[in-house]
Amino acid sequence: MLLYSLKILVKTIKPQTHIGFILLVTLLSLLSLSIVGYIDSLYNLYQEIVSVDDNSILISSYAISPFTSIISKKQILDKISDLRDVSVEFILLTPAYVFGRIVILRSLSDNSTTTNTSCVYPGAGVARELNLREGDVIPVYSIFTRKSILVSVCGLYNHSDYHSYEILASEDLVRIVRGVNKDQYSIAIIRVSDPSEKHLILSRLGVDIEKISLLKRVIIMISYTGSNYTSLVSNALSEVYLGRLGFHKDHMLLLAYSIVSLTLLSTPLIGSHITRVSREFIEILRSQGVSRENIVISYLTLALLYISISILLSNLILQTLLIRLDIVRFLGYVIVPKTDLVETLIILLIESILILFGVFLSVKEE
Amino acid sequence: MASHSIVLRIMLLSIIRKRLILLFLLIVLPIIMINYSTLYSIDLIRDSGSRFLLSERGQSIILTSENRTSDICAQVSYATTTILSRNLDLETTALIVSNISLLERFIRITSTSNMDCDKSRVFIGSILSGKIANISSRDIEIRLNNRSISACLAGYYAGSFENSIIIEEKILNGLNTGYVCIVNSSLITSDMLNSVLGELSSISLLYTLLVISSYTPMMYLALLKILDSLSDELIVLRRVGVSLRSLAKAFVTAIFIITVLTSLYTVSLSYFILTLGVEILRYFILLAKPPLVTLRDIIFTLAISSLSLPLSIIAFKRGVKNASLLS
Repeated sequence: MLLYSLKILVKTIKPQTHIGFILLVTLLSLLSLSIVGYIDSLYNLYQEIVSVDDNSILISSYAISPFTSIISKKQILDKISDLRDVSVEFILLTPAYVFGRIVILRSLSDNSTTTNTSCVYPGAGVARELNLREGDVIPVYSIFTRKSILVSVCGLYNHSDYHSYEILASEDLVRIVRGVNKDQYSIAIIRVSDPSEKHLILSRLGVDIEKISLLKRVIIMISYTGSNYTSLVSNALSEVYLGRLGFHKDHMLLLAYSIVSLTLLSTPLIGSHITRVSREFIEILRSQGVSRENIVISYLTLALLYISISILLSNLILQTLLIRLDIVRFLGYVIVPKTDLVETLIILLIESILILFGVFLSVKEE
Repeated sequence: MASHSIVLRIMLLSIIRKRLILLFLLIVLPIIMINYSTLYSIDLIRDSGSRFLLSERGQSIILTSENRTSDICAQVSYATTTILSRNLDLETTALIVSNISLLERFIRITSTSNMDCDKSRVFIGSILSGKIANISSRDIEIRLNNRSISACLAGYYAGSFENSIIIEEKILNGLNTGYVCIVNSSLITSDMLNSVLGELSSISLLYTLLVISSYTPMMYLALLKILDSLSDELIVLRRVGVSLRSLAKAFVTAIFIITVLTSLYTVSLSYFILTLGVEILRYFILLAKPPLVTLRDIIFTLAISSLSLPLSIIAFKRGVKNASLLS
């Protein structure tokens, strides 16, 4: 019976009206998904740039981003140099100003190039944007030393992902731009193969182990001022950095979903319009003695069908089209909207509730 | 025949009495609130940025392609170069000036050789000095732009461009040319701030445009619904002899008036919510600038409201076709 009434309902509404509904809901879903996706990606940016995994300890100083942190290599090596199976990577990261754009400079860990102070290797993305070619000589302005240096493009660095928007250079060169001495780095990542060593390192760095064992997946950030280490334990790197500015993940998500709710505020109108364009349907079915519940259920099913198709379409557009457009940027990095299943389902739920509410109200009126 | 103002009054009263204003609110609120709050956030960043700029003092040394007449500048050429000596083959970047004294405001010569030199003079940046230290003779050869130049090592410098060398030569053709300038640091910081703000503004503008584009059909749907709810009044008015033209005129005017009023109401509501939010946030972090209602917001509001004009005409025509008003 339900299938029969649904069939009549679909036939009552003109094909172009069906398409119109789907397009409208797709546009609204796209707006909602992209807002959540962009805010999520922006929040996880530091994690992507630094790339720490579960078996590593990140050491940073008290800073609001990895770009402003300064740590001492000697102090860290003194504490762990006697341990085996432990590798430490020291990284220098700094924002620089190149041709009117802020670009992140990252140190290369390759030993053969650590002393070259005139070569840079721009990522493919930044090279395309600033129109850089191998052999070009470019001025780089340091916001820390307030001076410029001249460097030459010795090659392009082909790497997908976020490194594509960075300029790679030798440690010595990044150090000049950052204005720090030989012992200083931005961050250090200690990688261990044996989890028990992790605890040993942490206790040497003065971290309260009990605090960590409560969490399953952790990123540990040890910040120090002078020689005093204080540890911060978190699930996300941005939480540690941005938390100091008062931006917690919950707040960011709240902001994202507030914009989503605001964007979707008038979707009940779509729901009520579905019933308006198919008044005949109600008349036909009522004359055939079909129950009121059955009519309501057919409308709800049709609305859900529209929403599901729209969510699928908007996800497809998001994954194929928006990912290629360089719309949102932060510090030279192109931010790509990434949504997961839970976020998509939440938006689907918000949309469904609002549209079904509209359907329900107007069916009641009729 | 009822005059235009009476028909308009009937329409306005019916819209208010049937609580259809809620529908208008549903349509204009998202667009105006999203636009108002994003523009406010950008203003807030600009404001805190300019406060930061006020505290920024000091001067910066930059290399730019344009001659900034208001600043202290010197014209230079620059290129990659190779220093060749008996035991060295060092590739680096070089600044080429006709006379080293032109750069005296930008660099500090740390040591000079007193010997006369009738060839091109070369000064080495302090960062490269360690690598050059083992050059055995004063005479070096430089390869620049496929040309070999005989030069003598004339001294070392620090201050800026420390990873390069400076060659005293006539400005050569085929090289990049630019100006080394001393500018106020705040100028560069404000450039950077403006580029970030420019990015943010274009994103928010794009989002607002997308919201408007998806709300235009929604506004149309809302107008159809309003017309539907007013059908009884329209039929009665038509029966008492009001022409279809006058009805359309009154409908479009009534819709426009109500849209302008609800839009202005939404602006004040947004202002109220943001002010409240700012006051609450002040307890936690220092946020200086309370929101303002500017002419920009009013113009945007009127622009959004004027969208209702063509839409209400189309909706009326369509509604008339469907309902039996023509008779």
